[in-house]
Amino acid sequence: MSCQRESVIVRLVGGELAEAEEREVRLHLAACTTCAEAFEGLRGTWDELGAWNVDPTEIDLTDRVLARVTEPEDPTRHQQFFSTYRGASLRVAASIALAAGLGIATGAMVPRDPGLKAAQFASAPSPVELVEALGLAELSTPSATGLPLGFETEAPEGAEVGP
Amino acid sequence: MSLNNTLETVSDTQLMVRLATDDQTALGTLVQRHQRRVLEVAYRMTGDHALAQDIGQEAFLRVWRSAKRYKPTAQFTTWLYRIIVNLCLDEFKRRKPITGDVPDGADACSYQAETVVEARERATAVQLAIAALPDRQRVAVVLHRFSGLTVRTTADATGWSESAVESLLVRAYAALRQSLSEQEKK
Repeated sequence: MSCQRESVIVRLVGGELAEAEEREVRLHLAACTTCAEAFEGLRGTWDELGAWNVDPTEIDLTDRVLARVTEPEDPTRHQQFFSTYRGASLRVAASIALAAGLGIATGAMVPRDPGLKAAQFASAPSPVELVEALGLAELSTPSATGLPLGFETEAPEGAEVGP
Repeated sequence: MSLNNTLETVSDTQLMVRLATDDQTALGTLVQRHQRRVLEVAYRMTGDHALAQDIGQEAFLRVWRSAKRYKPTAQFTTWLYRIIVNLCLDEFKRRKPITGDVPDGADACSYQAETVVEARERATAVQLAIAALPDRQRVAVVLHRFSGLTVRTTADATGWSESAVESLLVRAYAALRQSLSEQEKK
């Protein structure tokens, strides 16, 4: 029989080998010093670990658990969820609106019919006007260019941005 | 005989069926039947008594919330261990490494018999060695050595493969052996 893998020795010390397998492993240990030492070492550690006793019998979770089960659902729970994500949602919406406005203002977004451009986009609001119109000014800090921070670098070179 | 006493002889699976019909006495019986093992495992994994109680409470609340979807494909206790393991692993991600609520040193027990002091020191050494293990090794050792789970049931309770659990256990026991031997020399 070949030398035992360490995992077999772990199972032997844990007492989880079937009777026939355990007999076979023990026969091997009797003949193999290396495996016998590994087994004795692990068994010693196993026994030492037994020194740590934990006794939680004084604690009873029953009342705590049942109290939580019977308590009415917190009506503010959904409000808390909304308030948690409201800021992020508004920022995403503001980003989309600003990106669209920026595209229109810089000519990056052009209608398929060029004839419509003059008629429909000549009076397109600037991004800053969009921010003010949407009431999102408090969500962004204006940069030196008048655009919200982070947006000024997205404008094409030479493009007119802001008022 | 009270209803709760009647339920003491009912199997875990039957209690889960009752719990699915909002029978809260079934939950009370499950808590009383399993809270000791839940608290012990949670404490050994986290080293924190208060946290172990919070994890224990949350584990039973998850049992209650999952009762309607529960399918007895594995033993109830294996499923319960899995809930605890997941809660502990979540906790490990959130917090700094554990050190354990190590009891006060020899000053407090100088009047005690030497053997009691030695036993306490050995227990503290073991607790520190367990706390110093990487999280997954600690989880595997706690389930295998202290909860008496086999490699197979440890794999079921953690969702890891048997070979992964074997590997974790081999490394963990080797590390514990070295750690305990170093502490003994000090």
